[in-house]
Amino acid sequence: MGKILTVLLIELLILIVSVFALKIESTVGFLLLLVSIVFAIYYGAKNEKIRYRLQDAFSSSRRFALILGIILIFIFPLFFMDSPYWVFVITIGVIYIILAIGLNMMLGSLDLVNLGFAAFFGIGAYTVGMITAKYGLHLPYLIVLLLAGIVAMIFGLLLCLPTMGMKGYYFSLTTIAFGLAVELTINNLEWTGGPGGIKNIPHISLFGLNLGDSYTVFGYDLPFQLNYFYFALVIMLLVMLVAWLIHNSRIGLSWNAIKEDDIAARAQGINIKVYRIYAFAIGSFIAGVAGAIFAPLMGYIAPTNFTYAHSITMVAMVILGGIDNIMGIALGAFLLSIAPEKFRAFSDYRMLIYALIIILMVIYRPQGLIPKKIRKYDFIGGAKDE
Amino acid sequence: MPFFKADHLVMRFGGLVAVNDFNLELQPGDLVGLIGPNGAGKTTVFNMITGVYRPTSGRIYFQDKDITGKRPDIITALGIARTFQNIRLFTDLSLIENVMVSYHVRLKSNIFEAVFKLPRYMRQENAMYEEAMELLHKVELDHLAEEKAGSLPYGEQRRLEIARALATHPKLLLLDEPAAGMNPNETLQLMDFIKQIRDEFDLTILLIEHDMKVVMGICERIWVLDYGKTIAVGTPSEIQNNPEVIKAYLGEEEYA
Repeated sequence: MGKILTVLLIELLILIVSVFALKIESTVGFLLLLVSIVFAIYYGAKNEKIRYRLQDAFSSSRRFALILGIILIFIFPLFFMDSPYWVFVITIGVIYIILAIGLNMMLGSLDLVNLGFAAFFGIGAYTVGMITAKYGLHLPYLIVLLLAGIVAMIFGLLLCLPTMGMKGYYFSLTTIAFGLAVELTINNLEWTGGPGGIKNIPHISLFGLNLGDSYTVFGYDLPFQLNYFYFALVIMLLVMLVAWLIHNSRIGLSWNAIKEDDIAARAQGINIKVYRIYAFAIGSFIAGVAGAIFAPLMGYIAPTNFTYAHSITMVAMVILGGIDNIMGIALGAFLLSIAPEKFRAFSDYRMLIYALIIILMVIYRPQGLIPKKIRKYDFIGGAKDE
Repeated sequence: MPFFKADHLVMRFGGLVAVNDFNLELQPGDLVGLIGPNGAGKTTVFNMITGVYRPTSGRIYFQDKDITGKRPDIITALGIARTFQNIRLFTDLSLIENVMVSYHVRLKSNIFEAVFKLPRYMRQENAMYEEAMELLHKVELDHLAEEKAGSLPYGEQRRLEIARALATHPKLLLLDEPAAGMNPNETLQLMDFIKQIRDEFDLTILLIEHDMKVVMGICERIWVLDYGKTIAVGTPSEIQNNPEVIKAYLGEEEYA
């Protein structure tokens, strides 16, 4: 019972602190909060007794912790009903979590540093924009979502095949070129709207509901962004579940083996080409799906949404959060998509502080906020890592 | 047709002839040594057999099949496994995972069954896990099953690498300097272990080794390479007294 209470209190504390952190307007106050969070985590991690008690509490009531966590995430945006802008920012954060999990299939599992991942995001978003706004086709949204994923996947395979034998910076360099090529193409083609992008992308309508409407619940007028938040959240949870299942299956294991030593992996009978194709296909499909949520949420997309800088940010999210750990990646993606908003007060120094955080992280905690864990095998039931 | 045959293998890297006209025949159950000074081309022979290099010329036959230039993973699936001179474990994975990776060759389930943990996949996974544990038990590492492979001391890493190779169910096992870095006591244990696994798993073993105690102690026949050429073939006692071999190892005697 005490353990469940510990989990409950910790998760509530995290919720309250994060709501407070987003709401606080004074810059000094925010910085003070940030410093005290870092201090608290540092002290907690150093103190054996506290760390052991927390680990014990979370590992013995794993299911409760997970369900409570999901419930609290569903409640989270309700604290921002007065400012739809924050709901919007959080929704973008959720979309970036989806992207970072897709990227991790290459970057984290296989050590392929893809610096053009935003291209797949853009291809997904443009697929939706072209179908719904430019050609005005009235397909069911879920079909459009699937198409966005498939088109991104086709481009993923197009990038995968010629880079098959590449590793390290040769691979990264090629992906930079790929990302730029996609960005420049949609920027210069008249067919895709050029630099002006695609305007008036209609809102998602799903099972007779229009996500662009604001609904009234118990007399409260809810901002339409909230609909998008919940939709993105459901997709995010699905993507997380699939990514977790893959990570703990023989595919995740083979990916990791190839990452560690591809020559030894081949000598154990692993066909590395097939596993690379899996990573590209699944990763870019997920990015396309993220784009399919992004386009109707924005209503307007342009090449500037899918640049090299966006690709770099996605890589930073995975590295900051923790390579190959889904919870870590989610945390990293969320922090890095919220952080620029919080540092707006510093105006000119915003990107500087942002960069400083990343440099400090890489120096002092290169394994990420929540590092990768060793899979546990407690048969029957397969591998578990969370 | 013999069980395994390397027929006039040549490997050139640019102007360097690493292996020149290498011939080898193995019968099932053989335990054969491949020796020679550093740079003689021993590991290159292994790399050609396992598909890492495609020979410049010559053919390799294994169980009546021509396997010359096939992909390494296909050759492994056909029944040839190897260990590496400079130990290539998956250091960040646990011991049990290192061994389980090798079972994937034989799994019949597809990707969807694997991801969604459908019954057939889970049955195979369970059988695989139990077999992997048994192998770890055989190399006396089962108590460390969930430790990272990189945290093991050197001698135990060598044993784990052999267990990992055995997990692919090989018929021919290539061991590249299995005794390197071991102390005399560990070396003795290793010699027993190699003979034991040959009998238990019906293996044919080809091994490269610098430790003459190991080679002379367990090998039934020995091939000696020098500068890419086979300079002698024979039983341990024949090799020990062969003047060509002595010359290759110690240099030519000079008469003043």
